[in-house]
Amino acid sequence: MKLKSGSSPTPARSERRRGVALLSVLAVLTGLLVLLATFQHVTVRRSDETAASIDERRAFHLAETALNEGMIALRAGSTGAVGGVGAPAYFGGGVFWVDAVDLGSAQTRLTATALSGSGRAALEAVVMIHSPEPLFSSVLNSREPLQLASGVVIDSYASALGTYASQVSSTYNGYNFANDGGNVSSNADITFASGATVFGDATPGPGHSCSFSSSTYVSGSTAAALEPFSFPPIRVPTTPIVGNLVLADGASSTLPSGKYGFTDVSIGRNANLTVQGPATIVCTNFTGEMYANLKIDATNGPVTFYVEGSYTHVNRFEASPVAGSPMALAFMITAGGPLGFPPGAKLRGAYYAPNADIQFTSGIEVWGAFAANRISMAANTKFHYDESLMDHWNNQGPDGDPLEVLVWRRAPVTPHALTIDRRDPYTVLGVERTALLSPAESWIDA
Amino acid sequence: MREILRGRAGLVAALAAIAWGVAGAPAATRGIASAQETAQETARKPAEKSAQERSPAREVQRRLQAREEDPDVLAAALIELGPAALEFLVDARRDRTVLSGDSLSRVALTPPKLLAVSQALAALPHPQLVAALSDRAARSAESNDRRVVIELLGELGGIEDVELLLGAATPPQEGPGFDSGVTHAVQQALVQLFARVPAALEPAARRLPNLHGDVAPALARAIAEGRAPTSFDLLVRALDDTAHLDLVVFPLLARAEGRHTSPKRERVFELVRERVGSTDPMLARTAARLCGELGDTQAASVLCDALDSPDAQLAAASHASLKQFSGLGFPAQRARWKQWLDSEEAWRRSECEQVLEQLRSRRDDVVIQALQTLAQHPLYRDLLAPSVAEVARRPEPNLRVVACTVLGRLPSSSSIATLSELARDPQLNRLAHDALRAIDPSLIVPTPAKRAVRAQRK
Repeated sequence: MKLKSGSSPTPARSERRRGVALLSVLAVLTGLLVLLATFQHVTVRRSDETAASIDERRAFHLAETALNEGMIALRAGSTGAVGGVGAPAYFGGGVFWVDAVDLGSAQTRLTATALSGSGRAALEAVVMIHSPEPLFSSVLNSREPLQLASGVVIDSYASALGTYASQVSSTYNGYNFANDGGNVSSNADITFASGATVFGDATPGPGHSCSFSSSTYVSGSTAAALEPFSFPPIRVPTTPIVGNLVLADGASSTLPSGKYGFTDVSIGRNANLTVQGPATIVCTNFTGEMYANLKIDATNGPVTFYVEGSYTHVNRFEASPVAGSPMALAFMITAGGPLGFPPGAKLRGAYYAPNADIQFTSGIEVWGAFAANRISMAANTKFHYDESLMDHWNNQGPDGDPLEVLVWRRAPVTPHALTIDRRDPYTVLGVERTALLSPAESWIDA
Repeated sequence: MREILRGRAGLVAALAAIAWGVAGAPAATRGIASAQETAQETARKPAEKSAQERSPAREVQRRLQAREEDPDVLAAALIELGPAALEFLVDARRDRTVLSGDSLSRVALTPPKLLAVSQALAALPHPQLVAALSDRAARSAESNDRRVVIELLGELGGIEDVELLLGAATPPQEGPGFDSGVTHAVQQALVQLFARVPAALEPAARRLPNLHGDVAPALARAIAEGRAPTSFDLLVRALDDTAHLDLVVFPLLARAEGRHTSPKRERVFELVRERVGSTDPMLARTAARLCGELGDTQAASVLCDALDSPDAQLAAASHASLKQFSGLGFPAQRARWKQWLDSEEAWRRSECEQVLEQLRSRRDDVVIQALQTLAQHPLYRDLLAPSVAEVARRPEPNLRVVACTVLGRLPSSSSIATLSELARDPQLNRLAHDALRAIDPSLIVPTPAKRAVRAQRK
């Protein structure tokens, strides 16, 4: 009893202790549950975030694909638009469409919108399509008014078919001529002094006209152009400069085909430099000294000189083709100001100098083509357009790609509701996945 | 400086005196004379150098090399030099460069500096300037020298200088002609001169038939560009005086001011029609195209025949003119166009009178029907337009609107006055402008606001 009585408080305390333990366990369990719930919440959220991020990234890459699709369409002559918000193109588990807006001057704004899962992305690019028109389609082509001096005679031949003399076969009004492809053009008026004779077309700029004098003759059309010639700026290729190419007086050298960069190219008196095409030569200054000869072997491709500084053409310097080669030589001259040729010069090849004012002094004869800001000439100058030049130089973008990207940036997704409603794209747009067309099938032609 | 030099001379003289004592008087005399000459020469050299430094050429060069870019300040500095600088200013204007400080290279003149040179030349006494330019033209046949003379006479010359300008533009009989850029300079100079001195147009035009073959076209173009009300008549007078200007003048007639109202209009039409049959292919083509541009519908038959010409360019020009008259796009086949022409002729003979009668009806629907019928016969625009213009002046608003539209479909010079009047009506303003534009786009004078926007864009 004593024991009992003595031990009577023990069970009560023990019962109390048991309750405390339960409470503690419950508290711990609750804490663990909260912790677990938190962990689960964080994990789910992270998982959701990761999924959303993946969708965003997918949408971004899909938008890039869409933009490229629009550019491919533009290159192919289509409008650049692909699908639409009501009928997007299906690609790689997502959908996209491209809107194209013609900005004029051969520029187009492409806006690509892509949806993948919950991801949304839009990209915008302004691109320019360079028409692949030949750079040298006329023997004379000027941005400013073109005045043909008295007694000037213009015809054409093809250096790929032999010499000019071998192709002269026709006569008109006392003039012997080869072909009637000696076109002249200008973005402004063309005026003919007395006796100026053109065996070809004379094409003034849009809204401009030809003015004649007595005894002038044009064998072809004198209608104005519908579009002005764009006189694209010269894109000088990036080529490492390795020094100078200087040929001493009387020396001879051959430059095999390839790309070259020089500070100065100078062909000394009586020196001969043979260049084998295809060749691209970038130089700061070019000088052809007296009696120097630049021989062009364009059997396998054209030769192009990019002159960023001065071009000096000393009296009796000549460029000529090697036997059996067309005269596929072009000087791309970036500098502005006057560009003169000495009296009596025999000029062959093409000269593209969109910033320069070319002046032909007396007694000059030309077998080639010239495009410049302004062109003036002495009386009785003879021009023979080389039709072979048309095959080589085009008014295209860099690296021969007619499409040039002017602007590229991320754009806001439109319609804006798409960024709020993050459900599945097919549900949001109300389209059937199986009914969607491939990107190539979704091109919208004009 | 002079004192020092004199001191040196004195020293030399003293030495000479000693030498006289040593070597004898004659030698010493020579020594003194020589010393005096040396002294004088030494004294003269700095003075010459100073004068050379102050020479007008150097001064022009120095002032144009200054950093100053304000044209007014620069011009004032150049004007200070007076007429002595005239030649050098003309040189600077011609070359657009000046010699650099070391006189070995040339420095390009910036546009403000070129402007200052022009301002300075304009401020010089006119007779002296003209005399200097005349002298330059007489002594040099070089193209750039002529160009600068021509440009300056265009900018600064008066009615009495036209002859000098035309003379300066005329290439010498012997030797090579001028650079083709000179022709352009002549034309630009004449346009400038006519704009400043409109009275110069008449005497200059009188010279047309007798001018050099390279100068006459430039003058004719300047007359056409000058946009004087008498331009058309002045050019036609040149055609009367000489036949060799036909090819020069014809293309200009289509844009010469006064072509709609000139009393010589019908005669020009006849002449141009006649030239479609010319043996000169260029003249025939130009005439064929001019028929369309002048709206000479009576040339339709001649142009139809020219469609069969062996000269493809003449056929193309005739085709373009026929399309311009008719608004039709038939191919360049003579038979097809002839068929159309015959049907039009048949309509004129049998129905035209009746339709014109309907225009006087009091019923709007009849008048509108008649107007719509007339609009389909642009070949007889000059015959029909006056009757349509009468309807356009009637009070009924719907008839006025339709008539105004039809006047645009029958573009005739005789409607210009009526349309200009209708253009003041706010309801018909747009339609009347469209109709005027169909007759000749140059008849639409932009409003000051539009001009300002265009100027801003430029």
